[in-house]
Amino acid sequence: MTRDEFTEFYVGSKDRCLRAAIAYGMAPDRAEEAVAEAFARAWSRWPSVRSVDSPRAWVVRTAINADISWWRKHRRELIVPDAPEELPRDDAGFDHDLLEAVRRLPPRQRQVVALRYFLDLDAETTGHELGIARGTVSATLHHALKTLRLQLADTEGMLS
Amino acid sequence: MNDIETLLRTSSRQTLDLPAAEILRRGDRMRRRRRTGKVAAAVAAFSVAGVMAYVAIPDRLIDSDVATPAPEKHPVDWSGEPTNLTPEELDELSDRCLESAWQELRFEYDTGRKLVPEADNLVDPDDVERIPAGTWPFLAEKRGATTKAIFDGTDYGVTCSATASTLTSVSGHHLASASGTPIVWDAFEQTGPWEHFSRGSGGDMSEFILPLPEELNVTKVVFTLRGKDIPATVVNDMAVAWTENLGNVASASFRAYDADGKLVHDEAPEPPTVEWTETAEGIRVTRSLGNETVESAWFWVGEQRFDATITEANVAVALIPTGTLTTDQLDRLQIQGLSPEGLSMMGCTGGPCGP
Repeated sequence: MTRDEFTEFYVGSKDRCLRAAIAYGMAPDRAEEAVAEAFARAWSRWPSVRSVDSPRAWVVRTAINADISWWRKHRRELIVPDAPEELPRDDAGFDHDLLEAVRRLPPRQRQVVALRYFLDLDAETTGHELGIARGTVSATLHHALKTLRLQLADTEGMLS
Repeated sequence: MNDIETLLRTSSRQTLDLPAAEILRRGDRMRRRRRTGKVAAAVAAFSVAGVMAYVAIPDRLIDSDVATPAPEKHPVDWSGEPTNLTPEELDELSDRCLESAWQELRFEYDTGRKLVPEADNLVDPDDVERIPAGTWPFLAEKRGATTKAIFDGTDYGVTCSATASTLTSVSGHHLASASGTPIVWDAFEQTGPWEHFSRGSGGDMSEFILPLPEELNVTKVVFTLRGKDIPATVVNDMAVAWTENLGNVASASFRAYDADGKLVHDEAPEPPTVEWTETAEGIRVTRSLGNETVESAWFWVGEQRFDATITEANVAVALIPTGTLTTDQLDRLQIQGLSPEGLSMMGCTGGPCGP
């Protein structure tokens, strides 16, 4: 295991992990710091992390956990909302609308979309990460995509 | 027209722009923080041909810029000259030393965990960066029947030696017996910069290793033992020396100089020793007490005790009738004493303190 190997992993995964964390529902500004910290944590115990099913999913999960800790510490009266805050408008554009639509999905659908598309995990690994059957992954994904197509159908006519 | 799945996969607006170097730096710092709580008992035994000494490697060796050394391409010997080992021998040393050290690291953890399940001072092999296979040592030398090497890694180092036996001498190949010992990292902040000075004697050699604090920019070190200077080689932020067996090296000290030649660490004064001489009245035994205030003092060997008087020059003196002790016993005489507060003059850390 080398720094080069980790660096390659980081460069190839950082943007995907950030998008996945935001899709999960994290606020973009906190997501950047939480994901960066999760990558640092991954490097600090890389011999263990590199051997898990999906190091990318490990990073996102670690970032989410850190964010939940942050949230509980700073806003003790609240729990992580099922419906995340709206993304800042300075991210306007189709990517913004797409991510916003994902964030409006129910939590489980959000997670499946984030893992399958933003992290590019296969259905098996996604199921393993979420503790659900592969068939449940497919069914959840089907519902999520259907919802997204409906929500984005009128957005700049980009969807088939 | 794009399908939603393609768009999800190619979405690219959000990017994490932190450079990898910053992530590595933060991760290194986290690892160091974790390790800090472990160090006290994690310092690995460093064996010098059967004599145990202790050594740990300073924190600055695991700073991100130097944390994972590239495989050493130009190992040197204990004189700082290019190693006298061939690339094939270095490869073999690497294979054998790194693997055996890794096995020992695991063994120490498994054994320690079994003995003390709640111990928090063990180094978990799953939590350290294994030195990559094929890494060459930064120090390697074949001298007579012995080959020695030292490897550097992110979380631990490895000392390794192989000695030709009768069997291997016949075959002309002794590296097969090479065995590595892990050295676990430690932090200078916890220990002070000079507290990892390691020395030991065994077989036909003595060895000295001194990790150097980076901030002092030490470029020259001289080890000292009983008034004799032993020049060190400074390599990879360590000062090292490998000499013939010098006997007991526990009292060794060192002088360290920075790049401007300024003395940044002076040798500790050699502790006074017990001396004896034959006189007409008997064997006169003396030992300077230096600046110590001692109310009573005596010399002892085994179960025998000889009370001393303390002179105006603060020297303990005893007169032992000739023939009472053998020469060997005289050579082994030690001093003990009590301060006015009743404290023992010499520590009693595990050894006898005298009758």
